Amino acid sequence: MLKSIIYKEWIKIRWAVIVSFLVVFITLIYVQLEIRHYIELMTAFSNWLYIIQRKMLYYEIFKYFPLIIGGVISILQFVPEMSKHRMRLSYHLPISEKKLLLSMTSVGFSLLIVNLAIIVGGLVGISYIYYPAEIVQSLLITILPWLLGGIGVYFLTSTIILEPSWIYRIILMIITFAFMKLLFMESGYNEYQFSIWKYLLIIVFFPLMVLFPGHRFRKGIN
Amino acid sequence: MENVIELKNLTHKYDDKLVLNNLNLSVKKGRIFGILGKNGMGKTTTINILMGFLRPTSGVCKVLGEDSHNISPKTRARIGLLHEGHIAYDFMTIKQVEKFYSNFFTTWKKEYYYELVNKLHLKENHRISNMSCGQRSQVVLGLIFAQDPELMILDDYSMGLDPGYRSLFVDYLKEFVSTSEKTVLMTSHIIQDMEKIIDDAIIMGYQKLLLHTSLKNFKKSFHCYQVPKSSSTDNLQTDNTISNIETIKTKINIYSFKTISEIKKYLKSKNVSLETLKEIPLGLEDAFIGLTGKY
Repeated sequence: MLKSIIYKEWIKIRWAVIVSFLVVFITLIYVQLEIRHYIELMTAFSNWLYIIQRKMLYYEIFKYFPLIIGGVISILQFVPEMSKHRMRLSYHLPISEKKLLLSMTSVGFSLLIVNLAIIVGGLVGISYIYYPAEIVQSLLITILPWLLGGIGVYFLTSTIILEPSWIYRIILMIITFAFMKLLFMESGYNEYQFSIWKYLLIIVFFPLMVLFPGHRFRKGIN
Repeated sequence: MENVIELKNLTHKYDDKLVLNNLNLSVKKGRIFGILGKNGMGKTTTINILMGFLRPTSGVCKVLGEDSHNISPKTRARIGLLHEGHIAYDFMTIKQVEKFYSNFFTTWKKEYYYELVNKLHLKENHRISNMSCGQRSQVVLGLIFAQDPELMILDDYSMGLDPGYRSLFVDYLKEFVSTSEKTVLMTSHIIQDMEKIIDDAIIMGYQKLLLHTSLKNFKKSFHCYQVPKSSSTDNLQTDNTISNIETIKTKINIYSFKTISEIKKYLKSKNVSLETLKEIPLGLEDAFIGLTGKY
């Protein structure tokens, strides 16, 4: 059964995942070329001045990537299910709605994680070539809120789409907007160093949120 | 014979609007049961409750012995659902959708699916979203047949189908049901098609059940009598004898389950002239409209 669910989810999101991989690779190449360009044309000293003194994040181009990828995967997975009441087909499958929804989101989440891992791996690799270990460490702490934003937006968007009641949908949209606003406030290095664990704790519960609209829909409570 | 579907005092309201009022019915194993009624009489509400997507305000709705809003995955595998509009995974192809469903059912019969779908002369990589409503209906029916369920709930199967596809659908369903002891509950607006296939039916009226019988019985026992319009016919009203009255210019059509002798006696008591009283032969659709009314 799980094989079938993975198969269906892959059919829905494969093109978006392939395109996102390509865009991430191209952007990583762009970031690497830009760093080289700065160092060769503007000297290493001025590059250092920009990234340390002026807090210019040389990887800022990736800031909203996780958010966009998470949102797009979620939309492509669940909008086709909810349009024309197609989710009824899925809810009638001989599998509990909890297992069904967790399996569906696991597929999207896994592909999102692969995407995020490529971004992190690529940035760390590029940074190690040109910068000292302290910069690489700070990169990880700095981009963590963006990555969490991508994961959060994936689960929250999925919950919003699956939610049959518009009142709950609007409440969830407000929560999503507020949460993302909080996660994307930084403008320099390591600004979330001491608070990121709180966001992490909240996001751990997001995968469970998709179960509530599913439960209500299947049990005919709405 | 055991009941596959059982509705006891089923009531449903949307906010304050009462749609189903103490509906009682049971469907025995191996029967083909039709739910008939005009739009807005609660057919879709009943089907949604049966499918478990709506919790009734009160009453009991059991499907294969389980509460409809709490059917276990194991029992769900024994129920084939056809949703209004022939809903399918449009983003999949003919081959993909079969591959997807096949892993969920232990008794999956791939050949049933392809027997039906091959009639469409489409390639296996043809997307469902690029099919006509009729073609999609064949895919959906093929998937239900391949599932080989004990109970099939078919909601408005005829919606959007041309006469050819409707006939194909009914013929295949009839054939499939006759070869195995399947139970079917279906709704449709096409009364002629229902006549070909269903054993028993209910006719739903506004907040009440108008009839629960076989269509053959209904057709045999329901009559239309015509008399000229007069001052005495103006006083006629629906009651235990008259199910419905229809005025067509200078004539009055009286619909009733009573025999001609009984209706004569009744009309005489109401001082209606019986000189030109005649019985109008009714087809099933005319009888259905006669009972439920045009408006």
